[in-house]
Amino acid sequence: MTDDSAMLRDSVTKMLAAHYDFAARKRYIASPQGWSEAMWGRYAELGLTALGLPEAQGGLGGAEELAIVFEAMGRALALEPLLASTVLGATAIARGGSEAQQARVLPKVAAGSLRVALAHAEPGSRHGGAITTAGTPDGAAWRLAGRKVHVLHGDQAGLLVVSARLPDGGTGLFLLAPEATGLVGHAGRLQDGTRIADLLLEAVPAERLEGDGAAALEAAEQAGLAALLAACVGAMDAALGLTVEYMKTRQQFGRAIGSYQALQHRAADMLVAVEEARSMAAMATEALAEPDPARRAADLSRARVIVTRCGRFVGQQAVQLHGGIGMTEEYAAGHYLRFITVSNQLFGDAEWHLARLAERLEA
Amino acid sequence: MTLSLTPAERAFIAEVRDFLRDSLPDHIRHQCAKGLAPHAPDLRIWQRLLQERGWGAPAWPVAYGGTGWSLRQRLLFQRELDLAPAPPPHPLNIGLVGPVIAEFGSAAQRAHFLPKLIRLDMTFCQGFSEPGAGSDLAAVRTSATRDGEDYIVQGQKMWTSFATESDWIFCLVRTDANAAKPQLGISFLLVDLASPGITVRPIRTIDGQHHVNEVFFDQVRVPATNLVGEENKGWDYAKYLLVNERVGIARTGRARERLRRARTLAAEVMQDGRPLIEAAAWRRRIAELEAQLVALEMTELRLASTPAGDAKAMDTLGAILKLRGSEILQGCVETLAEVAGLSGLRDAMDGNEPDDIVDWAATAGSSYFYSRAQSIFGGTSEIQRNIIAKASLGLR
Repeated sequence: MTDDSAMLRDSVTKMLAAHYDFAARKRYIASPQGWSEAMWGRYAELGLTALGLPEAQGGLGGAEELAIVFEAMGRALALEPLLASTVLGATAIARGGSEAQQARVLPKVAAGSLRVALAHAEPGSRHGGAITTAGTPDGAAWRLAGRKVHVLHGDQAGLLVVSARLPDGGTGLFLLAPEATGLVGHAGRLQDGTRIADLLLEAVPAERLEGDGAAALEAAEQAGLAALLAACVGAMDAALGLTVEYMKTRQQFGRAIGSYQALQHRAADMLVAVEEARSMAAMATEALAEPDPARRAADLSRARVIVTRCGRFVGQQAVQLHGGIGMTEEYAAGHYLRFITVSNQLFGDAEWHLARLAERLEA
Repeated sequence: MTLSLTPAERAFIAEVRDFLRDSLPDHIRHQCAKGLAPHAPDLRIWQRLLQERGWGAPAWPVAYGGTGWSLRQRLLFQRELDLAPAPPPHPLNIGLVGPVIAEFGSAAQRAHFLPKLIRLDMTFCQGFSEPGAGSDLAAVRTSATRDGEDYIVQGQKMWTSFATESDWIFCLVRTDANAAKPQLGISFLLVDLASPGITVRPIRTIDGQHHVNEVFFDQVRVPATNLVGEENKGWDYAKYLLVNERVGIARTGRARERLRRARTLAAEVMQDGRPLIEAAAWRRRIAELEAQLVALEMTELRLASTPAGDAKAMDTLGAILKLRGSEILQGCVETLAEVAGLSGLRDAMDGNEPDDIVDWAATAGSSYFYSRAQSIFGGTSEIQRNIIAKASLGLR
């Protein structure tokens, strides 16, 4: 790790330690917004909202810095739209938009003054299904019709990036304003507290991103996956730390439960899982720079499969070793499990990625 | 012993199915289908329906409304309820405290409580666990101190289901702090929740629901006539209660019902342009779980067919059933949740709406989170392994 990376990690860790303990998180999640605007301001001040964006558009750093930040965010179970806007939305625009489109939007995203969201999933279809939302040319502009579901932080985004099927069957990405005529949004949230929106689009006027939509979408989801895996490692590591602390203090049958060898071995297996996941998350981050698309996809899929398996084990055992207290809303252990469980369903679950790997297995 | 069902048992199953088809209210079936705990008022409605059919308390002595069924029949009955899906007979009144009062209660207690319990004119919740007494249940500290004709109860109980809706609580209390072993200083006491000095605080769990509570006792005066059996023998009664519970502890019917729904949902959910169920990996996963489930069902039948009196075999099989039952039910619930994917992980609280997924699957994620308690309550999986290692294998 370079000095700059170490500094970034320290400053993010310090900021979260000061403002993102579990009690603060409870307040943020209970607020009408569902996360903290003040924290978002701090992220912007530290330059986190610019990470991974093109330098020409006010961006700085790259995948490695994002991984450092997301591991810390996962540890704190941070709720703000950093994944949704800085990674997913901004990457889609950076990879799919023209210079002019980028220049119009990305500097504001980098500064944190504009939040973007990427709308791709559709009802009744899991990852990898064909898009049914249709983009139709309307003079110089386009109109979109269809439905999008569980759009991460789509409820409070200033600008939406929406995937749609083009008349030629290809995939296009479109910018549209949340207040556009014909767009009806419905806000909700996932079980880990992440805000989402469902969108109903009826001939909504939209601007097409001029580049290759499918490539931009893939780039956004791959960057999103790498960042998310780093966050999972942070959450797993924090869950293990909390569990080990509990094992040292919780007394049953007259001794600390951490003194029982059966439970020591379980905790040891949890550490093995955390480190295995850490290795794969790091590989996923490096894989983003892999020029060969097949190798890039395969590495990301392997990372998804392993982090899912390790994350499930660590999350479930964190609850199990805490016993009843791990099942309560008031205590952090169960919230790591919730975060990991939701994360495991984003950008294709482990079964989907394993099926891709199996298909491409060389004899 | 045979693992295949006799013609009489098959006829019995058909009879239970007919009853469930005709009598189980749709809204109760639907709540169970969502994988959510039944509401307290629905348990009441359902208990009365079972009671009218004569099936309100299958395991009780016939004199108090029991059925006289064999262990195998009781098991088959519970499987059918779980498959419907329907709630069991009131788990606290019928499953836990009733048999203890019937076996160890005074004549006056039996006459007073049992008719009310079976009709749910009075409902009980359980005051066993405490903040410092979970797996180590014998460490209970809530004390009952004799004062004339009364006990004065002081302390705190934890993880009490239905405490906000119940009338009474049955408690393990410490009546002798100086006993040779902690187990020998515990008594089994029935307490009216309306007594002055009792406070109930709800605890929300990670599925976003309210299932359990803390119950605080501050100098609560309880008539000594509410002591069950003898003072300082409460641990024996608690063990009886837990053993009594284990015939259906594996919840194989519930696991089968969950797995069936996972299969149904996998035929509806599309991935890569085709139903998920067409993917070999998902088919294998469901097939594997079903094989494990059948192994559990056979083990369960073996327990129910074990001659009465073979206590050691019963203890071992009981621990195996709780252990594997938890794991397999969790596996089935988890598979259903993963088939539902993100659509099952939307927060159903605060007016959030499901997307297009069938509504019983929209709560699959919530149900998965709650299923993690399966290997914690009623003796953790770790405690079951201790029982198997120590009692069955003699390893110490």
